[in-house]
Amino acid sequence: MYEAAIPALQAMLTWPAPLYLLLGTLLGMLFGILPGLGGPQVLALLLPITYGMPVNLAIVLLVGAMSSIAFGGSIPAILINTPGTGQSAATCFDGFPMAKQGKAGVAIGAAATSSCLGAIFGAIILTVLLPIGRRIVLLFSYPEFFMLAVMGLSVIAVVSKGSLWKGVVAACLGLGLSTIGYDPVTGSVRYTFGTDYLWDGIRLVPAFIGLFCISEALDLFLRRGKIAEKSYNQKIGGVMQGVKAVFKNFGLFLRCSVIGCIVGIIPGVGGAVTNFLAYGHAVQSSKNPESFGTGDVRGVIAPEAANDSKDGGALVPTLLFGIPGSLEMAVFLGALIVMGLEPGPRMMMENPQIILVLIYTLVLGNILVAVLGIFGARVLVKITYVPVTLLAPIIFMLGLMGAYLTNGMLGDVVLSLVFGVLAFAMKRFGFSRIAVVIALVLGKLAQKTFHQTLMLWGIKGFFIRPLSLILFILTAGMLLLPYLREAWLRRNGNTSQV
Amino acid sequence: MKTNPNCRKLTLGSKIVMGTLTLLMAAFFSAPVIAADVNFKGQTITFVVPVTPGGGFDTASRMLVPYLEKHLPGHPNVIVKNVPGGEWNIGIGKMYRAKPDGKTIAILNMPGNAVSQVIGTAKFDLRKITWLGNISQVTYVTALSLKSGLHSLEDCQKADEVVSGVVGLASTAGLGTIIAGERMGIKMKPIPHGGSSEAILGAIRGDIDWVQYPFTSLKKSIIDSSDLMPVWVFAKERLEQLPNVPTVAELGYADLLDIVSMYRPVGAPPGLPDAIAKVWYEAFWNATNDPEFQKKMRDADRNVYPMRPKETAELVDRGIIEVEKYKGLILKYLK
Repeated sequence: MYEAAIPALQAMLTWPAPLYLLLGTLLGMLFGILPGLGGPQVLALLLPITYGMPVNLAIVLLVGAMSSIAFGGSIPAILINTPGTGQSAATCFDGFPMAKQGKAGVAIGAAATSSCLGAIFGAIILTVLLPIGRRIVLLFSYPEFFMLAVMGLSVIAVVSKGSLWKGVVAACLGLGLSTIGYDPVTGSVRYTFGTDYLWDGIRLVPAFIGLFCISEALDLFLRRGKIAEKSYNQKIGGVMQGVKAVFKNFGLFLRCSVIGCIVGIIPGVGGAVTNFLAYGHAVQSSKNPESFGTGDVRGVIAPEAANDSKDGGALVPTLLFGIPGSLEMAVFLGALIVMGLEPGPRMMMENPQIILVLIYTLVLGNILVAVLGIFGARVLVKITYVPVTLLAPIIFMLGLMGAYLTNGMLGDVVLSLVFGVLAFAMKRFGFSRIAVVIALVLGKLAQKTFHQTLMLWGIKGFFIRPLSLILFILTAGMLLLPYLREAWLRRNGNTSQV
Repeated sequence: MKTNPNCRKLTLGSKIVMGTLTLLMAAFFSAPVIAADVNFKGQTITFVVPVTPGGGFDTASRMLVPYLEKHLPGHPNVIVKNVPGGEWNIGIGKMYRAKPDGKTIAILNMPGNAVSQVIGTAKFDLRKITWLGNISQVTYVTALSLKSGLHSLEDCQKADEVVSGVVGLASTAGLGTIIAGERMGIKMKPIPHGGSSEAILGAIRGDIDWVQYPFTSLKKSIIDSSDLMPVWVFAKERLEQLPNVPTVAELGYADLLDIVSMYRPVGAPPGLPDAIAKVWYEAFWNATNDPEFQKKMRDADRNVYPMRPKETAELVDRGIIEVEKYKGLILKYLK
């Protein structure tokens, strides 16, 4: 495969490939920014255009669009607490508090850099892993998926602030909501109240829009003033401070990139989980976890690194087995097949150049979007200085429009409104919205794989497989670690740092 | 009696105007009756795909769109709208309840969609849909995991339990698996999955013994990489790409061909006026027979199987009758 490195690079740089890269990247960024629209939609839109196009150019256009989605989605997450896509939800947790402190530029700088480097890291891993990726993909079965979901749920314990009971109540609410709809494993239909709409359960995108965007708009209506409560360095220096923060926390960045890659490689876990796992890891591994959620730049670096490095990971099963790890990859896979390419082991032997063009596009697309982000940040942050009486109705409308645009269903708009009011009340009474989101996302995966494991192996299935057992021990360790550390510090008479 | 010349002049003028108006009105009101005059110029036609983007149904629909635009009078815009959810109910329902003006059509899954109708969860009646034709037909293959220790039909019949990886039963694949198992006398233990790729991966790992999916979904695992072992195909004749794999007919189960074969018909709302229907029938037939479309589908390794509306309606009817035969079995698995 590696002998095609130079010809692939030449193909990338030959006109009009750079133009297609720019177009794809800009379109992807736009779809990322708009709440409700994301990877699957932009790819589905571009698909008919790529029919009959030379394969190299089609790949550049599609992968270019795919590469800029995640960072595009983080921009509104930071500026107006509205994740443009599900994979940017965790960026809200610290990104928006930073914007409130007037540090939106710093957050965007950190997000752009972390995304870009995360994507490069993912692309390197993809290049290295393709020859051996098969074995990694096959290591994960139903019990491992379940343990990963439980690991993700354990993150709730560290990210929900304040009362433990309120955190538990919020998590239970999320888990309860995740049981709504048709369960493909048991074949039962639950809590649909006779409506077709609820057959598919609570749809994540409109739920996220409600939880973050609508509730934020309601909050702003009542609060008045501006999003940025304080003024901070609005010049390029502020943005560069964010860029530098990634290098200052390079260890965290690397660990989160690894998390992104691993979760990406496992088909079926999906991008919506990655950013929470990374965020949870950042909080857990921090010496001062209490600063998260109040505008800690590490809370932006962690999810951003993971949600971009996961793309490289997710391409491993897509290219090796022709098995997509996410909806976005499913559409991309469809596009490859339409182009006459057969993803699978033979593709690496027969079309190594195409695979390398794809990897280069992933890297270049991300660099391009990061540069655009860093230099455009100064203009973008101005949004946070607009009076909220002007901004709140726009956020509200954008949110409702986004909810409708995803599937063109009125039910999604109603759902986002219901979740908006719910989240607004939760915020007022100090319940964690993050816990609801994590439980909602992971509940479905946990349920499905729990049933599958039980049907195949019974309860012992969770503990007889080495990897599943390791994940279980790791989760238990993650939960116990803070208590052990506290005990250790207390014994050493140094409780002030806890 | 003397008449005012001015008045006569006016009467003459008004007669001319009236005559012209009558002619114009006659032309205008008779227009919809003449089929050739149905024109979609400047209009937008919604092509509902009741599943998420990606996958066979979505790709087939999107590939057909440019040819529908080409062959429909007035070359309208045809846009694909994915309306997934509720086991196809939401998308099909959207088309079913749309105004029958020829501006909303949908792709369906036969005999998969007949399951919801037979068990009573459907929000539509397949027999009332105005069928426009069919895009493609999908051949199914049964493949066994290399780690299952099973190599043939006899092995499966002797086994105490065969673990099969299925997707919801209201799909042609899921329905076909339980029916094939029942008919062939295999003790099947179906493990449901969220999608066919998850189940195929389970079989490659060795957690699942049996998968039964369209040839296009399994091709990578049985031809390109030999990760799974194909044991029979649901076709009348052996497949060119799998010359050593027998057909179910050769194994003595030719009757299964009626139910384990998926079609992708396209329909419009019930009560589509004849004039509009006629235009659609021709345009749809011409689009699915367009050599360029057929070549593109072949290049993407997909087959094209155009059918006339009458044939399509008969196919749907047969599908419902076949599924009804297995209603008891389906309900047993759904419990």
